[in-house]
Amino acid sequence: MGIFHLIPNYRFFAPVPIRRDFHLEYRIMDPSVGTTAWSRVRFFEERNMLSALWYPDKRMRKAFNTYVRRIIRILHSTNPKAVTKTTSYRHIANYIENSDQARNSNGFQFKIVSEQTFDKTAPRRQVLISEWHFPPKKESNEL
Amino acid sequence: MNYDSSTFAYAIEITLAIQVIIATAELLKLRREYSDTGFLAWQIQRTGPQLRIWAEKLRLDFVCSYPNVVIVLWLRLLCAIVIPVLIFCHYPVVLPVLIVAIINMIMQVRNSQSNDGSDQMSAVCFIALALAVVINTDLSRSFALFFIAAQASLAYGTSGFLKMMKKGWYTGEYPIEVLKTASYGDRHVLAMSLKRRVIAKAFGTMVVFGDCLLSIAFAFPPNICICILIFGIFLHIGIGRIMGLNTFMWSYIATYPAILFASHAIYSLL
Repeated sequence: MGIFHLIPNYRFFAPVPIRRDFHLEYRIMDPSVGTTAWSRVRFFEERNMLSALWYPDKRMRKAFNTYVRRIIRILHSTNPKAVTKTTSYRHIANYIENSDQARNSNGFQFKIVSEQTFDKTAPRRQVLISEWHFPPKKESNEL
Repeated sequence: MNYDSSTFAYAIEITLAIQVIIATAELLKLRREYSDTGFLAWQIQRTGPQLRIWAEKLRLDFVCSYPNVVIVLWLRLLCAIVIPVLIFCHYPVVLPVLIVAIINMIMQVRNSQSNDGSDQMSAVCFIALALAVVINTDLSRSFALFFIAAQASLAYGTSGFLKMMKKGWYTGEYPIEVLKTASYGDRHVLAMSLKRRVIAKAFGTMVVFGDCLLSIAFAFPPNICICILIFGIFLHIGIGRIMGLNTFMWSYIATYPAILFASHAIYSLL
């Protein structure tokens, strides 16, 4: 019954903690301006005092980090090309495809980068860059 | 102090209920992400290699798809709110505890990507408590309390003793590296730690030895155990604020009455 995740993994930042942030960036093929610059998705806001009690953003942070970790595992496997078929990749692609910006575009591409956000001297690394995705044209409801 | 198993079980139920209330409210705030166009879309998640089989076998589509999952979350929130009320009014809590335990298990599947260790601890503890309240004997409650104490000790021990082997925690390197990330860090605490390395060293050492000490807290006499647990509360408040792990505080503090109960049980035998 592994799907219930009841066999605990109690490593919590041990032995070596997470030392880099992952970020999701995307660009779209806009019908009027062509390919746009890369935009970053903000999954969470910087924390404040209230975050000690209430911090819903951590769910999005955790979900994205989980997807990226699973993607990295596939990229390091013997079949890295299978990454586009994974649920994690499809979750990310689905999320961007349904964003306001991408919905009306001709296509979109995304990449995952890692960096230490509060240390600008740390090098930025690219984890993955997707192919261009061309969503099927949605039929107009206009009569 | 009254070391009655019911009192300790109630204390755990109330604290865990707070964790469930916060966690559920957080998920309800993100409810749109559960839709087919959201970041946690079930239509994509259920195609995973394991889930594809279990989703049909366990008929998970009904409770996990949108918007039904939102109704399930509302039900969990309602039950979690009801638990402390029933306890204070001296009514049995069997039904809400059972419902929360079942929904927690469903959410372990549905939110596998966004759930963290606090949700996992809460799910495991609620199952133990549900069994205890259904059987409803002093022995069943004592077993549940020992089980929860063992879970907490295992969690702190795994985390603490694994960290103990890495020098980076004592030198302050790892705490600083974590603080540099936006995910789990904090720019103000980072600035302080960079200015005075001793802060990072103290933070790292405190986390390592705090975790280790909390894992063996049950082995100390109750009075010393209480002091260690108070330290644990402050440790969790600090971590919750800096790292944005707010629900960890509640699900781990919820296990403290069980640790104290175990400590008392051991020393009453000696």
